[in-house]
Amino acid sequence: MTTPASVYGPLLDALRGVRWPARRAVGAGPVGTHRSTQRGTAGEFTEYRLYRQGDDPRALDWKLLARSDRAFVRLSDDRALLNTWFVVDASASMAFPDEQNGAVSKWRMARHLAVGLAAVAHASSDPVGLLVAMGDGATRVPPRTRRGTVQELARVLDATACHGTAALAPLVAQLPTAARLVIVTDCLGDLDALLKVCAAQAVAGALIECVHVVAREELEPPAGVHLARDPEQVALERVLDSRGRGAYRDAFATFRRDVAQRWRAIGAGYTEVVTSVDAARAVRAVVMGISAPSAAEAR
Amino acid sequence: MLSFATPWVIGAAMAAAALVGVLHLLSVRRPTALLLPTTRFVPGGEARAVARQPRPNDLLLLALRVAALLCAGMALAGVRWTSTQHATVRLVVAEPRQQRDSARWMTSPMADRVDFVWQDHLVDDPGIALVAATRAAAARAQREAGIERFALTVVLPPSARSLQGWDAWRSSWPGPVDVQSSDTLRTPRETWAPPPVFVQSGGRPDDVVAAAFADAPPATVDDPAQQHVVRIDRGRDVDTVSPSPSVMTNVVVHWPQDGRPDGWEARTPPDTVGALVAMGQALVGPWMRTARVPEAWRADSRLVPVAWWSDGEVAAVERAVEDGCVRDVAIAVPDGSDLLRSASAAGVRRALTAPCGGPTVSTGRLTADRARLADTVLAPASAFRVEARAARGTEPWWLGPVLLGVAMLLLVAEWIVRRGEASA
Repeated sequence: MTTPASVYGPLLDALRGVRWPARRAVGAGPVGTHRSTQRGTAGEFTEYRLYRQGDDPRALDWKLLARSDRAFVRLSDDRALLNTWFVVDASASMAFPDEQNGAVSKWRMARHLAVGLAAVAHASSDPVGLLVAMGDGATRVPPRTRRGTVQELARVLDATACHGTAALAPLVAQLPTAARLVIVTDCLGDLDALLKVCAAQAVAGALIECVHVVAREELEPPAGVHLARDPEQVALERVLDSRGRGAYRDAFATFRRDVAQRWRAIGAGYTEVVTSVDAARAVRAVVMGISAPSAAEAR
Repeated sequence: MLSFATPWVIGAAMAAAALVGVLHLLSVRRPTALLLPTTRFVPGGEARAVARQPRPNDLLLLALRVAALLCAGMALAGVRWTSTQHATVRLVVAEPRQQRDSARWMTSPMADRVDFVWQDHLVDDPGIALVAATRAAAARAQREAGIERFALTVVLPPSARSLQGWDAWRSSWPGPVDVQSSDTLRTPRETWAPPPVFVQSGGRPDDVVAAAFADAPPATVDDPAQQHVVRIDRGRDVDTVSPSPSVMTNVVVHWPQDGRPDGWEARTPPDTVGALVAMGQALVGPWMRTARVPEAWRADSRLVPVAWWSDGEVAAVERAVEDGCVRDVAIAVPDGSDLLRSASAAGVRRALTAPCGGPTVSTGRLTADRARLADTVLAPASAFRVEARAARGTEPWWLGPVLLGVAMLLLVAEWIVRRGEASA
């Protein structure tokens, strides 16, 4: 029997020591590792400010007063925790391709990404939570920092089967804005509504990260003449032959570029991860905010 | 030349092959389904249009299927491959002694091939030639499906003992018969006058045979035309006395009273038969048979039957000797019977007293219609061919299994090509 430790063990080992700082200052909160927008006196010294009436006299730098005969207050940055929510798309399209032939499905990569990123965030004492969106509802795990949280998230993800059409926008809209929202999806669902909701969340202060999972078989469909059918839209059938393959690649590439631009335009971080990439490398790419290396680059 | 024992089977196979071809060309090949979440980016296209684009493998599959159907159809239809070199065969029926002259009949503008049928005793009745020709034509037609017609040439002596068999069997040959005369045999003797008959009855004044020939002309020495004299010996212990020291008896008839000539096997017990036949005439009477021709004599071609019982047994035979011939007669005539004096007995009397070799008739009338042969249609080979047998098997015999094997190989090849397409 496979346990989360046996499945994700190598991934977690590869990510030991990786830190995932927030891209910008987070709001005030419990002490954590992320730079906070709140300035105080308990943290690391950053600058002096002229004393103003009403400042705490205990913040005065008496030595500087003695030297310069002028009153300055010492300021320092606070660090705060950042709740991290992982919104994972478990619609039918995420089950592509079929793992029976030894291929890596998007859902498998999404699970590894979510567990890896959760482990990295949890290692920084950030509470991590999970929201899995399926065709018939969603599974919710509130953010926690206790030991075993990552394993619990892994168990929930492993017990999930992709099916139906999942609407992510309503689920994201319910999440608090004072958090980091990591959306792991293939962007083939309610993308427009999701972008709209995420834009509103970003304006309200949420840190949005989009991890766009793309299957290698979607980039390079099998050769020959096939009748392509969308698993979420059964009525949609198109003939994919040698003549249409080039146009397909161009259209899909244009879509991916457009998706990246739109996510970045709302201030979200965007990382495209292909299923052929090693999960640990992909997690590092997300953490660093760079493009995940392709399989050729990884070699 | 290709022919089929059951043409409807090959017709059905061709129809099936045509149907397969039509379905193959009209079929809408649906591409293999592929679940692809990014289908929306595939340019729109009609699946049917894509399916109708022929691919090289499509034509190969069609060719393999059609070829397999046709090969199996030909095997099941009993295909016959025959050479067309000998569509017309000329049969030449002649006596074996004519072999040295066989080159005369080798060239024939009407036939591709000449086959000889050597048959004895044509001089007895030319009808034997027709029987032999019919038998030979049937055997060849059954063996060789390529033969379409038979032309028949019968080489006959100028005269024969009887033409009754020819008249009876002529209808058995469904075509013209080219009768050619051989010039090596006796001249016909159409006219025949009763010869002098000298009956030695051992002094019995009431001998029925002597009484039957009592009106025969007497033998004379002065008439050279009467060199043919018949002597009938009625007993074994009769002294052979010539009617005259100067008269030659070239025909000696041994006609014992008990109906048992020397050398014949005795019938134990004697049986009865209803009629005696000779020269085409039947003499009905209460005949008692006491002897039969020995088995060893039956194969002797020098013995010529001259009279028969109604069941086909020989009643009298003739054998040639140095200066004439001897006739053995196994006919026991009841004492006091006047059977031999009746009009019905004329055939028996004539057969027993005819010159050596028997009376003959000219075969000239059989050759009279040679001029009309070119206008007649030759005998078709189908008249001699048994259709039921022709429906079995292929010709040659190995053609059927080979065609079936080829059909199987074609089906295997079709499966391999189709499987390769599916995996691709």
